[in-house]
Amino acid sequence: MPIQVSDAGWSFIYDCLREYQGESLFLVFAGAMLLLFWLRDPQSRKLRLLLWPYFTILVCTVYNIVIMRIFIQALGLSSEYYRFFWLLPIGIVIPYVCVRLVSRQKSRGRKVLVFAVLAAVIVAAGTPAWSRNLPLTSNPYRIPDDMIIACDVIKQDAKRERLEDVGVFFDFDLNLLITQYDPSFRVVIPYENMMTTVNTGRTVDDTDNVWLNSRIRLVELLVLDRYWIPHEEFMNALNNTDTAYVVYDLDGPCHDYLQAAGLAEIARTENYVIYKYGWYFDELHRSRGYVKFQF
Amino acid sequence: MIEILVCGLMLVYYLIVYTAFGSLITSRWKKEHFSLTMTVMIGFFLFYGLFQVIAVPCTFLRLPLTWLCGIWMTVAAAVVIYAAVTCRGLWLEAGRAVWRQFRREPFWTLVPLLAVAAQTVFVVMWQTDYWDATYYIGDVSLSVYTNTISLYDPLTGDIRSVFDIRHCFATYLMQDAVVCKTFGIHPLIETKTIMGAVITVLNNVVVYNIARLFFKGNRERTGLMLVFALLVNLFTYTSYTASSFLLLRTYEGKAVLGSVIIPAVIYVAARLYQDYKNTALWWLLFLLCQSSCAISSSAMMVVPVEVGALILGLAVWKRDIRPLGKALLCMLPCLVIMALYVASAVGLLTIYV
Repeated sequence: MPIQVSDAGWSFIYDCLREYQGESLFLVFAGAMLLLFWLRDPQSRKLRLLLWPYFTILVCTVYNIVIMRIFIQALGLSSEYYRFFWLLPIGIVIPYVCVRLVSRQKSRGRKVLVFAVLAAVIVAAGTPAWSRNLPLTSNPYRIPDDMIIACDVIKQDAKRERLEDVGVFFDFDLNLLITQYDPSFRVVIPYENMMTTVNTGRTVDDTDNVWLNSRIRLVELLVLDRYWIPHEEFMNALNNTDTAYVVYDLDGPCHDYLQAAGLAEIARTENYVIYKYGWYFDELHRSRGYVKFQF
Repeated sequence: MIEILVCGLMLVYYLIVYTAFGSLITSRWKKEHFSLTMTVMIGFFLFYGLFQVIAVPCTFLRLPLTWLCGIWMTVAAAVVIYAAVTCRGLWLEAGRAVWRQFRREPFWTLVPLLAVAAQTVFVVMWQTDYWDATYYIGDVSLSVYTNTISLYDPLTGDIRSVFDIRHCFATYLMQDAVVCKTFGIHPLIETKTIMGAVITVLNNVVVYNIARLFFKGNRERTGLMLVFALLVNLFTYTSYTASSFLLLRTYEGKAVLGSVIIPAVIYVAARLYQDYKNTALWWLLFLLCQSSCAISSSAMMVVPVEVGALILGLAVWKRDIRPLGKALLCMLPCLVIMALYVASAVGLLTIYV
């Protein structure tokens, strides 16, 4: 959650700066380089001429808490404030000073040594981009394969059923991606509705807002694992939202519940199970005048 | 495999188009030699600046996306053909110069190329699914699917009742939609993979230009600066740094703002510190400011602060007030869009769809 100026008060900019830097030390590193080397380097005089007034003006304006408290509060830009730190040319100053330090060395051996030391300092002082533990992509869309497989399976089944308006409940992570990957599906839970329900853990209210309450009910069971919700309420929510398919977490605790509610597994991916809602298709077939053969 | 080939071809397509657009300007500069990297950088900004001029009216007129595709692709094709005819001599000479440089200093010619290649591979190899993508890439997908220009809200999937003033001037993503519609490329491939690679190259092009300026064209130092810049990008990761946007969220205009626009403004300011009476540089600064708003809505605030801080220093140093007036004119596109945004935020301006 981004820091809010109303909570942080006078320490807002300092708190944002700490958050911006995280656990790495790149700002300290850049500052130390500037002070220890750059001030005394005769060849960097012109660059100093450019950057010192720039830093001074930034400190007096966008890094000035007296001005920023008013400005940020008036425009409600607490969450966006960190973008002003991009004005610190870290990606230029650190490499520039490093090159100056390397190129000052007379022999090739010393150059290689200084290069290695500086590279090691950058690596040690920083946090690598791969520390977020993102998975390597296996497709050019750069999304999980589950999304692609689930969409293919549902599309094929919907085509067989001659279903044009395909309402699908996607599990939380896939729900974020579906509009990007295939906007032809009718997403049962809009993004904001999903985020609000999951983030606040809200439940249905006493109002007559069937549209909203049905969606909250679905998220409660299928994402928040509130399996004590009566089957009847869950099925009403599926009916009210015209849900035809449900893509549910393979490790979720509600698989028996879903099958008892009339959902039938049609396929599974590495992490999800794809269910088809029987009642929806029964109604669809009935509306088309299909006769159900019984032997 | 075919997708990787398409991504590679699209990277080449963008670089050719940027070069063509940039050549319209740099081929006319009398004071300096034609530079391929400078041309690509300027072409990138001219490309998006011009696209905004065409796309914003199309958006407000609620024209179908196919119309915008037709208009823009005609303009782009005309520019490429015109540039190819009028600047082919310069391009050939620039190509020969690169070859000569490679023959003379193979190591220091390959080092920057390898640094860029390494960073590009790093950018496109991860599976990224940040929440913001739902809005940004969703906007492209919905525009392509519905054949409209940003008329649907990606967060709800419903048609908008009013135009989103904050985002509708930042037409960067609609250019992606135009490419997707024209070439039949999936929006996720275009925004995440192709533009991821393009922006990585552009970031390095800007750093390369800065290094060439600071080190007076010294190949060894310029190459070394790109290597250190790569290390800094890779090792300054937090959720908020420009590097993290560049490496992991390249589909957002913010990534371009932090890693291409802001350094490019510093580059132009540094050139102005050398020669502040050079009118071409002031026009370039104007182009940067105008196109920055076409790329990221955050630019309307951040870029004027940067330009103001850099040019105020120049004015004080030169004891001349005129640069401040010129800077104000350069910032005007950002300030106008910011005024429109503030007016919409306080309820003074509402444009119904």
